Amino acid sequence: MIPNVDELKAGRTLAEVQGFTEELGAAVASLASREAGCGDLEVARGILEGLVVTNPRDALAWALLSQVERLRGDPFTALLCAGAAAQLSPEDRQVRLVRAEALLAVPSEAGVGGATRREVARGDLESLQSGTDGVARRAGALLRALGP
Amino acid sequence: MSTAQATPVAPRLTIPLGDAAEPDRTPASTRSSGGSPAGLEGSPGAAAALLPWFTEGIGAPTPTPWLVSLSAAGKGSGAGYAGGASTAAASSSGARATGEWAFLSDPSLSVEEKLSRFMIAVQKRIGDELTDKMNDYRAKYGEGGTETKESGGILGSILGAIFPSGGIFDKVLGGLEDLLGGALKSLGGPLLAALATAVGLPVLAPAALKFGESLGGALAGLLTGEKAKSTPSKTTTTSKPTTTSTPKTTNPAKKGEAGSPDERLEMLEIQRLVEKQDQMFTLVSNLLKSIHDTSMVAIQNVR
Repeated sequence: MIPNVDELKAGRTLAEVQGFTEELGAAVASLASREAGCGDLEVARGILEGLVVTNPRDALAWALLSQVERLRGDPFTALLCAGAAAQLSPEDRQVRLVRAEALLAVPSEAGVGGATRREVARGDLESLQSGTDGVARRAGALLRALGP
Repeated sequence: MSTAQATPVAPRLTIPLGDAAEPDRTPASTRSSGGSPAGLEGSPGAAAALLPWFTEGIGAPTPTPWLVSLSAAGKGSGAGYAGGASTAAASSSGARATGEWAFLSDPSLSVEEKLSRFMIAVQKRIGDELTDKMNDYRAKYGEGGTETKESGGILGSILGAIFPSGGIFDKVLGGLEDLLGGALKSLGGPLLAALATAVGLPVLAPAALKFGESLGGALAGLLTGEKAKSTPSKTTTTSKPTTTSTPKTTNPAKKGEAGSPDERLEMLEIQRLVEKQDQMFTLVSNLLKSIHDTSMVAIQNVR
């Protein structure tokens, strides 16, 4: 199905125009996550870029793309993607953790706010470590790695 | 590999890891509290207490690295995705005019009243469309209509939307503007457009798409220029034709900035909408006039 440009300009996403459901989006994101887990970061990146273009309002897809970009060694693109995810879903714990990771991934010597970035990320991680889920465990592990 | 070599592996796969496989044994959590060694061969609970990041992936489908879990996120809001079959059916089943067009099926209204309301509704729609087009034009071509303003504006707007000023990001991202701008440029057209939509600037998406394409074209041109320069490197620096040829390559881009076909097309589109509005006024005005004339003739005949 060829999307109507006017529909896209009116603010509808490609996913809405093409009938791409949330379940399909989750399946595609899951596939990308598997690829990233296996270490095939380029494939994961390609899949996730397609997903966020299809539906730019999917916060978890942006968060996953941020992780993949960070693992690829591109901390600034990772920070942009994490920022987009945080804009879409500011209260999501996973998104907040991804943003903290992206902030920590920026080299401390870049810019003038290296120490501040670290403190902001630490604050985020401290607020996330309460709980028993994977996010809390990961936040706790990162805090221990950061040291006092 | 022979089957004799493969057989010793099989028992490793059948080792019961969970407590459910051996119900008579105490659970791992209680076993770990007995002061067992916290080495890698100890219980998973004890290892997790000391090395949570190490045991993070044990039993998980993707051991390393930690990635966003879609199952943990649960069912999202579904923003931006198409609805299911039930919602599609529900939306398509509504044949009766509702909302702003409800007056058409109102039996208490006269034809004149319906016509005037119809005109108001259509005018409002055309007006909204016209405003959108003008906003679109402003986003694409800015005040001066130059590409440099456009690119700086788009990237600056997107960056400003991702990391709003006045917040904590002013301190965090001090001095990173150029690096983040470079990262934005490297994203490319579709991804830049998606980013603009994600941060609440969908009106910038078409311009971002166009900007990404032009950037890609410029990069491609730069690469081909580099290739062309690399072969006759020393002769071109001394000869005059090369100096005249460089402005020639930049001229089309300048032309595209000033009054590009796309810009003229946008203006034509706005003009078309204004004409449509005018036609609608004329049509309804003529209709109302003819209805009035008919009524007047009937009244004069009665006199």
